[in-house]
Amino acid sequence: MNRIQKLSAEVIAQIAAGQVVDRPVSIVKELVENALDADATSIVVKLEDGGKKNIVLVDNGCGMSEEEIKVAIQPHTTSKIRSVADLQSVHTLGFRGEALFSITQAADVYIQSRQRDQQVGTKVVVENGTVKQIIQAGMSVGTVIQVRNLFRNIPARRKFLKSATQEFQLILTTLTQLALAFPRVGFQLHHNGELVFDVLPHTSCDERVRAIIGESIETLFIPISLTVSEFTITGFIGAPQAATTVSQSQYLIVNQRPVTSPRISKTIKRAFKTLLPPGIQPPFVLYITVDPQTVDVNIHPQKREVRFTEEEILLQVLKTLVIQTLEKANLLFTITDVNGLVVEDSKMDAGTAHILREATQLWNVKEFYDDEPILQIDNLYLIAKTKQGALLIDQHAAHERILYEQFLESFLKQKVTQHTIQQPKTIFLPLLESQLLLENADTFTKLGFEFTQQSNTEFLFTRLPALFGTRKIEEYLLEVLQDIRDQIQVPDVDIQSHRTIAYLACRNAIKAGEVLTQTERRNIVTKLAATTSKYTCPHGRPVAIAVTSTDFAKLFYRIPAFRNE
Amino acid sequence: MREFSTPMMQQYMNIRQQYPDCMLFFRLGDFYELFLDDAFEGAKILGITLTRRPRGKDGDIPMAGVPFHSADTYIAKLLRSGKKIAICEQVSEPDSKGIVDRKVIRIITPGTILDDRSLEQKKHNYVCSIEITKHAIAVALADVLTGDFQVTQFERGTDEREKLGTHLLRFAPSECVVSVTTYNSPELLGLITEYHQSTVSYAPFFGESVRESEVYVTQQFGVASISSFGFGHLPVAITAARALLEYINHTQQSTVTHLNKPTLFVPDEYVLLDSSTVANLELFSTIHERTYDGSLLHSIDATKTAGGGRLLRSWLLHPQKNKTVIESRYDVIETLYSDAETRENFQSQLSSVLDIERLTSKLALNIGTIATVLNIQQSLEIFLSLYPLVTGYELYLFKKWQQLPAGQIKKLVQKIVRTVGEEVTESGEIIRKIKDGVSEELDVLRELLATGETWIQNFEKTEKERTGITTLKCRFNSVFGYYIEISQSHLKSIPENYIRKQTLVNAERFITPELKSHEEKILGARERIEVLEREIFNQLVTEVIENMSVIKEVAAALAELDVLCSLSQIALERRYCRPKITDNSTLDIIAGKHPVLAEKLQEQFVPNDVLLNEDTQQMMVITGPNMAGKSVFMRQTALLVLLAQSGSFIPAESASISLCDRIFVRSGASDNISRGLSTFMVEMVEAANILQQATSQSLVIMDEIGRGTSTYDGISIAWAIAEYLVSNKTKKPKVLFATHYHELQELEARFPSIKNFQVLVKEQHGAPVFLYTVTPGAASHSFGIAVARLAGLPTEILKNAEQLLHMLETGTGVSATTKTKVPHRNDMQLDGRETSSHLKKLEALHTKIAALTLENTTPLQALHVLEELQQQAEKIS
Repeated sequence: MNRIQKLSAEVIAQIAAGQVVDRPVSIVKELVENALDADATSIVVKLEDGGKKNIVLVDNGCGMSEEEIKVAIQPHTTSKIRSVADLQSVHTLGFRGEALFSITQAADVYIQSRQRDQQVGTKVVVENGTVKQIIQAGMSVGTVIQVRNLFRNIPARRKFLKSATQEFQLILTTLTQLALAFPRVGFQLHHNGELVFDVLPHTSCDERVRAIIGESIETLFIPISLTVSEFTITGFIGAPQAATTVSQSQYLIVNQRPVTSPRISKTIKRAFKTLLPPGIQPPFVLYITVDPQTVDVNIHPQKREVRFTEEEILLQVLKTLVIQTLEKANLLFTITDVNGLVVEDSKMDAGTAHILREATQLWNVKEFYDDEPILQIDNLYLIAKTKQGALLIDQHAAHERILYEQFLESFLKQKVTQHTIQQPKTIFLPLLESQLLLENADTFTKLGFEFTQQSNTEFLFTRLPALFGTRKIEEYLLEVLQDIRDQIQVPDVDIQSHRTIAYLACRNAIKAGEVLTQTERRNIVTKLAATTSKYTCPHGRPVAIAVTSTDFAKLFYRIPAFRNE
Repeated sequence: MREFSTPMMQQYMNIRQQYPDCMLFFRLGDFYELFLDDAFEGAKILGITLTRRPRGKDGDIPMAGVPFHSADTYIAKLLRSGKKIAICEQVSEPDSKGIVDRKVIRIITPGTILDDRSLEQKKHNYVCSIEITKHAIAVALADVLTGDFQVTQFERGTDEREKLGTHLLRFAPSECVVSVTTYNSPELLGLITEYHQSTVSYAPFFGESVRESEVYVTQQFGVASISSFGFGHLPVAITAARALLEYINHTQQSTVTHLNKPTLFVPDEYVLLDSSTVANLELFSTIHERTYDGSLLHSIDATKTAGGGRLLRSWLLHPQKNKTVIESRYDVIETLYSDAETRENFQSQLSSVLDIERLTSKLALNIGTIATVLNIQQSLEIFLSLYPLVTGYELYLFKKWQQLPAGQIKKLVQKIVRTVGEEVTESGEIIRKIKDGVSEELDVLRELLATGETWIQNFEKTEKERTGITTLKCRFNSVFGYYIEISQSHLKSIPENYIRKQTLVNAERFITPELKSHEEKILGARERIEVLEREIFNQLVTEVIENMSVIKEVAAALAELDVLCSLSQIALERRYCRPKITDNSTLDIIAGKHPVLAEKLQEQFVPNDVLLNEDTQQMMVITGPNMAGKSVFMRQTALLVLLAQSGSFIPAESASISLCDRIFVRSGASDNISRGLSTFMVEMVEAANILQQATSQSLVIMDEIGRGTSTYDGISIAWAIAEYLVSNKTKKPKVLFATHYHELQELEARFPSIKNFQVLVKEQHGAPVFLYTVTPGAASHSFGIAVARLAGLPTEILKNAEQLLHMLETGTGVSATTKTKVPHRNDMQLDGRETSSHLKKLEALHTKIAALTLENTTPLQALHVLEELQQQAEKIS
């Protein structure tokens, strides 16, 4: 018997479908995109058990005729493109012509649709991939699609579905992205009978973002906007205190299409410099508009990632824009948000620490003179009166921030000036990285490295920056090379050095529980005001919290707590 | 009557005689006792033990009692069984001379319950008085706990039954009081009980003369003339109002001061809803199960406060005819609709607002506590925090808030906060008390009491040490005051200055002069503290009551805000639209939905358009089979108009609504056996009422009129009614006319203002497929048998029915003639059952072939399919 056989058409269909439909969220995405392409202004999604049991999508779009539904559930059919040439200028969301067919292969589908010029609609029932019923049905103009029993016949796939809550979260995120991309469309999401997401049709992206982010857009987000000849960037970036460890709240909309771009995320993170510790992601909502010819949306089967032809320029402009925006913004923490962030310090490097300690003259809090009384609470927090109200300061965090800046300054000096000859060290790198290292030899020289190539992937390092003496050089190299590969500017401080400096700053800073004299308190306050980024400690915790007169008034209900002035 | 010799029973009988229609709760110590007949009855209803009290020569006296602290639940139970209860309390302190004085302090009746735990929060509890004279009927209504008080009067006549019934149905009082004359006339009493099942009792308060009643009412409200209330010209109304006031005073055994000034309810100010409309539209309860769940109110009520809930109910009952009022409500809803964050903030604050109206009334009725005052304060503070936000809006309704005396409220709140407060003890118990610092005397006394109590504790300690008796205790009881107790074994070592007071089995009790002198101080202080605290509290209550009218204004404003937030929330969540209110006498709703059913059926609900105007489409004659959705469509139209005129957005894509003055829903046929009327009679009475009252601004829903009689009778009557409704030049009500009589479709050809509509139904595989879509045209088939099949009627019956139908249709039956005459027949499939089923089969075959996916089919599978198709094709030919 022949062991290798051609797969039956049914199996092929199922496998193909699996690429489009891997979990409920992909069904929701496909269906919502269809609804959007049908010019719906209201889209309602209802889920049971995270969509595993039931997904209902109701739209008020243009609807389909009976004939159109029959065709739509065939493979590779679409109303959106006709030829390869059309692919170049896709302006609709769906275009591959696989969505409905794939879904019918994976689940039971009930399609009901009515066109505006018709009195009634058509209902088509597709079970187990075959049409079971086609009848007329009374309904509103638009389309209702119900998807039940996902993967009932493909237990292997069913097994890979996550919990209802997780699947629901994925759908919520996707729907939020789509809602951000299409502000003129109203969205509602119900889960197990409860209305969980609800946005009305808005007239602008700005309105939509405010509706979705809510109140905190005023306090925790900074608007950004820039138009250059090739593209337009608008949106909001989150202040450091809005950052989290997950990149879930990063929304990128390119030409009305919600996408992800690790490189853009990374670029924005870089722009925050030390305002954010490693591993912490700033939230953002960015709308980028470019000529459709210069963006490729067809690189991912689920259309999630994009690629730009002018990506380097875009990234450079974006980074500058974010840096400028952050510098201009008033980033003091407000009382509404004091989420602590914890960063591991275990990777601190002892060698770096020693050199830095020597090189940096520790700033002494006792150098300054007394001025006006500053309260100290719990021997940890300082309260200083300000023109706007009061400033609450964590004495430890504040001193730490001040020291960090000083250490950093020294570090940057050390890095470029002090070279120390080491025992020549042989390092092996992967082929791609080896190429990159050679191409960017200049950069590495600037950083204080000197090396010769021994073979394709073998390098002999003769000089290293002193600061890196005791560290595993490979890790550092790989980190930098990765950045170069992603075409991101090599940062001033690598992750490990940041940790080291942060550790030093922490160890040398005054501790919680230390009683400070009035002078010392004053010094902290003055010095902190002089640091370049005074808003978070190097670990990302807030250093100071400003309580404005308005905040006080809110606390005492003299004015409503929800109005932001 | 039984005579008694003991003073207490003589007192009992004396009081009992004064309240013949009540059960007397007679306070004896910690119990309320029922005696004699009350005891028998009470024991039965309440399931408590019936005992007998031997009273010497008076013999055994039956008696049953309930503890005073849990009396409320028992009282509620008795009220539910239709009893009235007179509460008789001890009003003097017990002393050695004779028995204590007792007095009835309150009479509790279903309409005057003060214990709001046994009342529905979001509903008024009305007591009403009804006066019927030769020429007029008047109804006075009051809610003792919220203070609402209103009267209405109308002429007697053929529609009196309907008017009174509608009024009682609207307000659903839990108790009616009538004059002795009315009570004794079965005819008059019948007027009341026909529509309304509640306790009806008579009272002698209907006055000697109108003048005397007038004086009574004006005196109670401290006004010079009755005309300031707006019903000075309605003598019967004055009599009813007076009777109600005196009845309420009687039940409270005092002159109540907290009722609002009576207002005249003029039904014409609002959209008139007759009783069958209220019932058929299921505004407050479903028509069959009579449950709140499933009613319109239940579906759209998202109010957070009791006051808001009551107001929403009232708005639905009083749809507005005033465009300005309606639009100003819309404006607020629209503003909050697009600012959900603010609305949610309002609602979260409102959810902590307590029932201010009832709380204030409780204070006025002298049943309030410190907790009551604190609850009022809490709610007023929420008002104060909402005040600046709400007045910030440039909207008419919110501008009204600027008139509210926030400053006065603030002062009152401050006064309350300064005077009373809550403390949580270490054991977690909440103590509400007069605060320190309110009265210097009180502070001194409290200090004194505290020192006194500490002195006692110290005294016990030093005495223990001095005597060496470790079991020595210093205790208090009400007979001896403070005393020292020493157990038997230590009696030998008692000091000399101890004075023996009492000997127990294993201990003896002593006092010392020192202990006694401190005791006096302590007891004196305690007594004085109680008096002082009561005084201060009463003063505070007086102050709150003095502010009653502004507190009520605040309560009303909060209730209104609550209702508007609720309507806005529903409008947003369900994407309702803001109707356009016009006076062009056109009703035009696009894609309207039934507010209750659409929520239940969600996307499965099929929306429909409706258009009614004066000239081209004054009447829609709707035909279509049973179950197709005719009734839903018509009721939905009435509900949407009602909702719109109540000030709510409505479930539709868009709507233009010309103001309606009356909504009539003549729907379904229900027997009213209790009234002794047949289905048909009820139908005709209601139809007559509609024909009399409908104006050009009215909306009339006629659902299968004439169904209750024989076919020809029915057709004739329905035809005549339809013709009448469109023929009157001055009265052109908008009419939705659903009928099974396809003959009525011919009306369209005769009257330009009548249009035929049908509810679409397709036939598939011999069974009807309901499309629930209303479109122009006439239906030709009622699918009665198909529906009967769906309902599960036995096959033999169905077969027989089919044959009979065939005979009728092909013979000279009514339907056959219709078929040839009715022009609008666009439904080919419904013609001829045999061809139809043949076509169906062919179509099924076609569908099957079309649906084959050949690229997914192996040759073997294809062969199987071909075989199957062949078999099917053979069956068809």
